[in-house]
Amino acid sequence: MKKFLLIIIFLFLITGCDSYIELNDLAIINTIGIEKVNDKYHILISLIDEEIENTMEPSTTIKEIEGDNLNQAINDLSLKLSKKIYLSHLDLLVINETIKNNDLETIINFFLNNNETREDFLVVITDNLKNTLEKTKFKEINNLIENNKQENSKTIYTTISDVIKNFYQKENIYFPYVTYQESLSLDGLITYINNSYKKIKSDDVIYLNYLFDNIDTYKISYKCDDNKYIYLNILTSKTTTLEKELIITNELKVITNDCKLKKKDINTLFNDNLTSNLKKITNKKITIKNTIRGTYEN
Amino acid sequence: MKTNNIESRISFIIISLGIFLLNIKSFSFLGIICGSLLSLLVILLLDKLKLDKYKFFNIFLIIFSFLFLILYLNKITYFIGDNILREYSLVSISLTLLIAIYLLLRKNYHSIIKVILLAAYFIFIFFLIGFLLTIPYMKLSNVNIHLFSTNTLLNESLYYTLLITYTYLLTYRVSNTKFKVKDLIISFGFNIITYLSIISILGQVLMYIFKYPYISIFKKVSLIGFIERIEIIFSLNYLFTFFFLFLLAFYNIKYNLSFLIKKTKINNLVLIILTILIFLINIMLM
Amino acid sequence: MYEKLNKEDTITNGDKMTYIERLKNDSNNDDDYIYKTIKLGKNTIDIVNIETITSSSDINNFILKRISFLDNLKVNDLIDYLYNYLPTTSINKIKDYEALKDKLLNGYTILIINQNNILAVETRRDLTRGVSTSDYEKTILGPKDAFIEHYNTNLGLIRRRIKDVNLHIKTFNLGRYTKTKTSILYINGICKKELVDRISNDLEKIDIDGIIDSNYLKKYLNTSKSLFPTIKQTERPDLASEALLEGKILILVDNSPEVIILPTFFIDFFHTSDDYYQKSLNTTFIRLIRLIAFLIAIFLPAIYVSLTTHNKDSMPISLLLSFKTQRLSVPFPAFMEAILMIIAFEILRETDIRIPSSMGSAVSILGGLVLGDAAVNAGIVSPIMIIVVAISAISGLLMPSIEAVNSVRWYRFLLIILASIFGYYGIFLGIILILTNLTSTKSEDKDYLYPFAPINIKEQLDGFIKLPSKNKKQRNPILSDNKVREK
Repeated sequence: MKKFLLIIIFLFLITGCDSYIELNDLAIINTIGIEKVNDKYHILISLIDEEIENTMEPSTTIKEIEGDNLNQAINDLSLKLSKKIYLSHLDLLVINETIKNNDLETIINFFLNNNETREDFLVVITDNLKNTLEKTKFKEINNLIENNKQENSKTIYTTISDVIKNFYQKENIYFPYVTYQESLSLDGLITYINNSYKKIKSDDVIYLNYLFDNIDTYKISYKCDDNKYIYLNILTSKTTTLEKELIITNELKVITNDCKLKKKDINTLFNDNLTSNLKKITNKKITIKNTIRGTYEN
Repeated sequence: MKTNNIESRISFIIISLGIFLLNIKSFSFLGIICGSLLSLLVILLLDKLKLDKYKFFNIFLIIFSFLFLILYLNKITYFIGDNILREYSLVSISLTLLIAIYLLLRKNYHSIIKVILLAAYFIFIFFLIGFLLTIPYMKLSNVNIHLFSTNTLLNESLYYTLLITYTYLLTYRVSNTKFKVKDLIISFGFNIITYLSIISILGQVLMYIFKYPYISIFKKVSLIGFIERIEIIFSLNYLFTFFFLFLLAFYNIKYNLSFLIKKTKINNLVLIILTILIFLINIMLM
Repeated sequence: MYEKLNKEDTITNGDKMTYIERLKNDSNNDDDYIYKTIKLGKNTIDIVNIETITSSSDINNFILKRISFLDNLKVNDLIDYLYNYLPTTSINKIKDYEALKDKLLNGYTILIINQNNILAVETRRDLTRGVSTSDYEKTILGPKDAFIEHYNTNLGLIRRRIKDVNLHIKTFNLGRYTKTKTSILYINGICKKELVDRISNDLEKIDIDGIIDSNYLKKYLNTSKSLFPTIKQTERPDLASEALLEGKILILVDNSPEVIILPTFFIDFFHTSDDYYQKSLNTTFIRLIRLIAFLIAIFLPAIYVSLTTHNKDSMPISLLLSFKTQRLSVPFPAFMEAILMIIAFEILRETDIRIPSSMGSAVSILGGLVLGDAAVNAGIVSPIMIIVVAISAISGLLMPSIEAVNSVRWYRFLLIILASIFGYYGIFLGIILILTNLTSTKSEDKDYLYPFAPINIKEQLDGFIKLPSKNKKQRNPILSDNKVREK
């Protein structure tokens, strides 16, 4: 024990505690925004400020850098900072539409080889990088997408590990698409196929989520008469993907039933609607099983 | 006369989990199952044969363990450097590891397996907690698609057999413990649960891309917005298994040396020289 | 005539001396030695006693009153008469000077008849306090009496609980000057014989000027280098009797209110006597709390240091920012801050123990204010550090034994140092070190971590958890061969 302590103290003296860095010597990077202007990477970084009053919503400042490649650009950031760059609490990666195929691979490789970042931060695509980063608050984009995913299933929460996975499997990568015109808004998804982006409307995202077994919950309404509607709440949904078939099981709750439809009719109405929409994006055979709760006519 | 030494049997389960995790990317689902069946046969055969009589067996084990140590010290050092102590000099990490191992090696086998047994309580509890925490993120659809990895099934099962047989030699043979098939089944259970949870959370592609897939699965865990970033606890948990694997491999050299030179006690100087040798080769390889 | 003196007994001037003269010489004429000579015809009776340790009323009533009735008796008759008719059971005939001194110093009154024949009559004064309540091993349920400084009382408290002839006592007089009465207690038929022999051997080897307290024996009985105590002391007779029934050994030392229990396992420091007086589920809960507190006491400051210096990535962002803002104005590194706060706490605790209770409140108010509010406002320490150290310190005090409490702090320091150099990896190394240290520890040749390593599942049911006693009807197999505890 005594010998061991002596050795430890000796090591302490020779290594000098390489990674001993106090909290206040860190520049905590919260968001990275990447765009490409004139074949150069233009990077915006949002740093959490030194003095914070509210730890749940701290204030941030934006730094801009340019570089020929991503690694160099991030390293050059230290020229503008008096503190150590700290990427471990990176929450969000915002990519501008200008980024194309090879660049996406560079970005993926950068985050894959950086062992400080984690693989669970959100990736979004935006039309206006500068506005999006400068005018949104801390975690605003995260919360926007998380809420929409949970409440109405109108988006997909894409983390960097999903991007990596789909990129290497050569499948479509779906990014949430965020715009900033006058205020922040979520504008469906953007998918990346064959070097180009294709937009998907918010309403269609639900059916995409059915495909990926990604439905948390959402509400849907059908018009059956002039001013009469039927509101349904999809509580849970589970999709099993087979080779030639999709089996979807839903748990529905009827909220209002102005049209006084019967259980059977609700079922057919819902199934027809879902099937017709799913047919647009998949060729597989679709089987839907529903359990319906709530108020309906017998 | 073989004894029923529970401590050795538990060490077998723990270090077979360690050796499996360090090589997890080499296996597929079927490879593990075939490998366990094959290793059962091999171990039962070894249990019958009295190989201790032959000198070549001891020499072979010493050389094998030595190579194993050099290879795995590197792996464990990088594991610590990547997951726990980033930006730390790898030399000092491997040096402290070897010092801790040397301190334990000076004790007898009984003390060593008691340390393993005590750590086993933590390892099993954390294993269970980790499994429960990751259940919500598992997607069985990831498992169904890919049953085979890029290696052939034969290669995989032979490799698995080699690893498990080696852990058998490290624990059962050294302690002269009676082999129980139950232990192999439990160890298989631990390995397959780990494998299934990794592949069902990450899928095959990410499992190969990520350096430490068994740690990556815990990065996904996020409960009530506060229990998150817990992967460091589990990397400590797995570090225990790697450490003990390494420790017993080192002890195996000591044990076989004592057989060779027919001395009951190995001089500490020999151990120090071995430790320094491994350290130097490791630095060269690093 | 005088008894023949040995060569050693002769004094330098060559004269042969009476017992009384020698005693006066040896004791340097101390004035609490009382000498009285009574002449009865031809016979003389010299009466010697030490005033401070004898009861004068006993001497008056049982010795002097009797002697004053006597008349001309022959020498032999006088001795027989006194031996048979003095109203006491503890009266001894003594042969030599050494025994005389021994008895005299033990509170006997010595009667020397015709400077030749010696009788020693027990007239000890009761110098101890009465049986009182336990001071530091407090319980809500169960008996409240505690051992005191009087050997016979202590033995009596145990005999009252175990009324069996198999309760054996092996007595030693230890210490060249103090001659402290020390005895081993065990139940024959439960306790293993080799354990008794082992401890007797250890005690016989002791050659020291004095044994003042049972704590003196520790260094002879505890050979392990471990920081954790391998000897448990108790002042509760119920706990001591319980230990005897388990097959353990007690060591009773005169003038010591603490009884030593041997062998002691690590788990014993998580058990208290009232664990056995309540429902097993509640006991399990409180034992787990003790375990958690123990782990917090050792690990919490180290975890905090490694969180803030090496492994920041394992904190959620809100926690990280909260720590960051709190540490903004603190000039010291986290490691120094932790060490400073822990030392400050230890100073406060030591002061609280040493100073008279009338000053206690002043110290606690001052300490609380300075260490709490003022230090934070002055920007010397961060509030979170005060919380961490306070929780760790309070948790450390939960161990039922003061020695265990004291040993915890070394592990705390060790882990803080390791954590500040290596972060979580340092804590890992620390755990390996602590486990190695504990597993190689032995108490009287028994594994210190017994039901856990080596493993014994049945015994673990009364370890950190406790199942209802119907599940555990056997004694600990490494303590006793007589396994049936309950039928």
